[in-house]
Amino acid sequence: MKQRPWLFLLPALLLVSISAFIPLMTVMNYSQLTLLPGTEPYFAGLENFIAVLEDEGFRGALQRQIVFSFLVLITEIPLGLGLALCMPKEGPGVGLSLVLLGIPLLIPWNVVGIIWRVFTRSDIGVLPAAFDWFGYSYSVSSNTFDAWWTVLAMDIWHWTPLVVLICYAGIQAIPDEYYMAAKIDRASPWKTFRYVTLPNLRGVLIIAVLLRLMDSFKIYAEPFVLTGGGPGSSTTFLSTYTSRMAIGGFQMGRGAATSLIYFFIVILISFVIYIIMLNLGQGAGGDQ
Amino acid sequence: MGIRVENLHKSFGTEQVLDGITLDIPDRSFFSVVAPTGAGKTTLLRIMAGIESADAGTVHYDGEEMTDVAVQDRSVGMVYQEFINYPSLTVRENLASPLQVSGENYSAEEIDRRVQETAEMLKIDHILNNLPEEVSGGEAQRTAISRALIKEPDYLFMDEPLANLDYKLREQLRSDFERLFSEQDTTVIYATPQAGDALAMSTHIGFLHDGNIIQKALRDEIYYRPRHLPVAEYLGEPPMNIVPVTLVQEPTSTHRYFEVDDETRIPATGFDSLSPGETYHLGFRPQDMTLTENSAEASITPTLSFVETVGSTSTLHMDFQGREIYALHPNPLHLETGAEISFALDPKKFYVYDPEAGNLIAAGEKIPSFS
Amino acid sequence: MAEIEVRDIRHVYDAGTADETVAVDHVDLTLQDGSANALLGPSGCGKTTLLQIISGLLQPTEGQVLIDGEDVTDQPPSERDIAQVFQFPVIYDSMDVYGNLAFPLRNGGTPENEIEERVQKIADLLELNDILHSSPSNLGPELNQLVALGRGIIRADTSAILFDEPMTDVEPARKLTIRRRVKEAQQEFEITALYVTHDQHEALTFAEQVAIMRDGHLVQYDSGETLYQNPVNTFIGHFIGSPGMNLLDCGVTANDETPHAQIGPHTIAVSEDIHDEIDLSWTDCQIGIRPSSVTVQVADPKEDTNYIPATVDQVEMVGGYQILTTRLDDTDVEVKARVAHDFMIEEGASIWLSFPPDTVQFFHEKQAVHAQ
Repeated sequence: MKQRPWLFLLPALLLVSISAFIPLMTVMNYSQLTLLPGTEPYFAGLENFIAVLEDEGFRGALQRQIVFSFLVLITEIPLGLGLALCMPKEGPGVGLSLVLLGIPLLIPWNVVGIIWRVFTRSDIGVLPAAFDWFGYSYSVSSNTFDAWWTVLAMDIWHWTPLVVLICYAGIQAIPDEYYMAAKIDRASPWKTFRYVTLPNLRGVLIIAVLLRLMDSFKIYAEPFVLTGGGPGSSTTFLSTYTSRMAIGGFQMGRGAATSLIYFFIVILISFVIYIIMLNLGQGAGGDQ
Repeated sequence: MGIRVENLHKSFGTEQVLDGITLDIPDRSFFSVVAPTGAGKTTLLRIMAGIESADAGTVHYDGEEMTDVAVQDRSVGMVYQEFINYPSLTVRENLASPLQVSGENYSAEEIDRRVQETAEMLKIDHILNNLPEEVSGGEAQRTAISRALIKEPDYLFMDEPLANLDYKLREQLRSDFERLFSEQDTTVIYATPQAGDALAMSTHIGFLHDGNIIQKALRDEIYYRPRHLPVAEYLGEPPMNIVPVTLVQEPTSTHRYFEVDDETRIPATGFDSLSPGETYHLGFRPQDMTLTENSAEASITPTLSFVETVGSTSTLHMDFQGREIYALHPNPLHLETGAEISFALDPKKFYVYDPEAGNLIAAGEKIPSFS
Repeated sequence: MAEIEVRDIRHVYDAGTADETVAVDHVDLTLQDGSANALLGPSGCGKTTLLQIISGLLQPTEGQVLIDGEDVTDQPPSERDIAQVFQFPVIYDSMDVYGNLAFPLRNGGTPENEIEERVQKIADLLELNDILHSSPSNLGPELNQLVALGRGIIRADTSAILFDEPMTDVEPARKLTIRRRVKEAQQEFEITALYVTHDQHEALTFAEQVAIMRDGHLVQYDSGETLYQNPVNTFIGHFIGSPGMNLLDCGVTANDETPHAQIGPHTIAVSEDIHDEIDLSWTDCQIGIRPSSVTVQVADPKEDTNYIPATVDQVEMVGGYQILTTRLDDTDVEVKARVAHDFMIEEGASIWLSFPPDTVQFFHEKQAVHAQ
């Protein structure tokens, strides 16, 4: 009787070990070796890690990544929450809104990049034409600032709906009685939001923040397709840097070391944010 | 077909919920496990049913070891606090489903017959074609119970099934259950924190305290002779009053008193086995207190905090020496909060407990004894 | 602290569809200023709907709601100044207890020093002083309900307070303490209160006047005692009291030229006051007697014709007493009688029951027969 639950888990455990555990072990193995094609791998200990941390390219990519994820969070979370608050709670509008929101989420990620690439092409693109009308010369391929905010806008377009859906579910789960009480207490709409809606969304917001943080930290296909990492390396984020080094540059050892460092950075930041949000504003709030 | 559990241990993390429980549940009894919320009743029930496994200890049904037998291979039915019925099936289909999914191949007529029989027994035959959401709470709960009973299980486990029901309905079902199960072969194990429910329905009661069943007996016996303080303080509606006293004997006479303080002395006739100078916990029931105006008769004079008069019963909540005591009076009373009320107590209905060990040392003459 | 009246309220859900239900059907009710009232009835009787109509959260299909004579039917809850305590504690858990209590006053722009006074007063009354600076998530549902109550009554211009089965989440052992503090608060502030519950015990101890609803109708609105002694029909007789009144089908017969109830071979005297009201030709009659009024005797009363022989079918221990379910000999009629908790009796035993005439009620076509 006690063995039965384990039997049910076995297929899943096998899958996880093949697709996650074994590659992880492989990476950890490679990270301590120097691997050059055509030669014998030799043990390099921590050399790879040190080299990575001292590399200008890595530091640059890391910095850009942190700034990017930060910008993503401060725009997508409030925007998503705001949109969720505007969505109808019942009636025919609900289905329609949910469908419209779902569309950007369903598009394959590299296709998202392609869509925005088309938007931004200097010959046929909508954006350069629109900016031109205002007298601004817009170019993703040669202007760093334009490249940056376009990548950001693309991410917002692509992923805000996820935040909206998560927040919407959270809002629906708040019992009506809280809003009734707030009305009886004569709370203004802002106070109602601040003291009823927000505390009850704590759990949901933690999920949204962590999801967006971790996913944005891994961002690869969209900026790669849109800008190729440029102009120069201005939109080269960590994942692009890592893959370029490991695969393009055949530096497997260094690539593996970079991956591991990358991995630990994501865990650390996520953990810190999680602890902060859990303790924000006291009280339980949210849902277990 | 009784159940025997031996030396059950179960802990959750650092909390030892069940601490070596050994228990015999007699065949065909209605056995209530009584304890305050969170004491471990549900855990005990689940282990006995086979849904959860103990850390140590064995479970035997009718002499046969069942500890590692999966619950679906046992003859058990289970009813929960939340009435769980299949929402998309009618009541009839709900009742039929346990028979349909069981290993035995029942014919359609056989299933119909048993559904009809069980529905009539639990008085839900008039809603057989309704969906669970269309029927009342009491009917939904009876549907859940019918589903558990239709396989005629040897053992039926019920975990606070009446907790979510209307007051009047609970009253009705309590009475119905008592009658229903006395006519059945099923052994019923019922967990509840409500002493009143247990007293109304059970043939036997086991009291769970600090991970152990500290008393287990026929209902009358555990009610009239609670052998430990926690049992005495819990098993009563309202619970028994417990007051610390010292036994005093006048040097010049044979009169003995239970002394509460300088002003209050309660006659201790009939308790010759107790030693003067010793402290005890004295128990007396709210129903055994007689209102009196006569100060010579009065044993205690507490102060009234609150009277609850419901119909023709008054429950008096009083403060006596800083502790809360209750009295039950069979007529409506109108009294002022803060008034001092005198009661005469009958030593023949006293219970005396050891203050440290908490066990019953002596009881008044009129208290029924059980061998 | 206001008088609340509902006039000819009727409320229909899903009107015009196949699921149409009349939740409240022509209810008239006036709650006196400063009184404690309860709304009692089985599930589905319409009490929650009526409560929501009074608080303003629901607009009635027909009828009016008046506060101190003013028609407020179209006004939202915030303008009615009616506070509400819900089934589960509705608390702002990002604020401590003090913040919760102060919230309505701060929204109204009351100066801080006044707020402090009011909060202190409420905290004293509800015994919340120790936890004023605690976070609600650390307190249990019992204390949180008191905080919700405090927040409801803290404004001086609260006209009434409505309770919607507030003890639902409260542990049985703590219910009494919480109910007491609620009652004390109501009395202290003289707030008009309406307490909705299905538990008659709660209703009868909290309220001076209890309104009993059934299937959308208001059946009787009276003091607890009157409901108990003088139920207006058999439903009330059975509903109030635990267990409820015994209702025994009977015929009417003349005995010594006074009307008596006839059950099988047994004749039972009824209260003198109603002798003149009973018509000997009546059918569909019942007598009602409360289990606590039935006298039980084990010894054979010999020639005393006031006693009827019966057999004990069931012995139940309930609420500090024992309830015997007995069957009158030579009939199918069941009578419940209350005896002391240590009255030793076995199932199957023979006993003798007597029904003192002043305690016997008479019902014709389910309605109580009263002296005119």
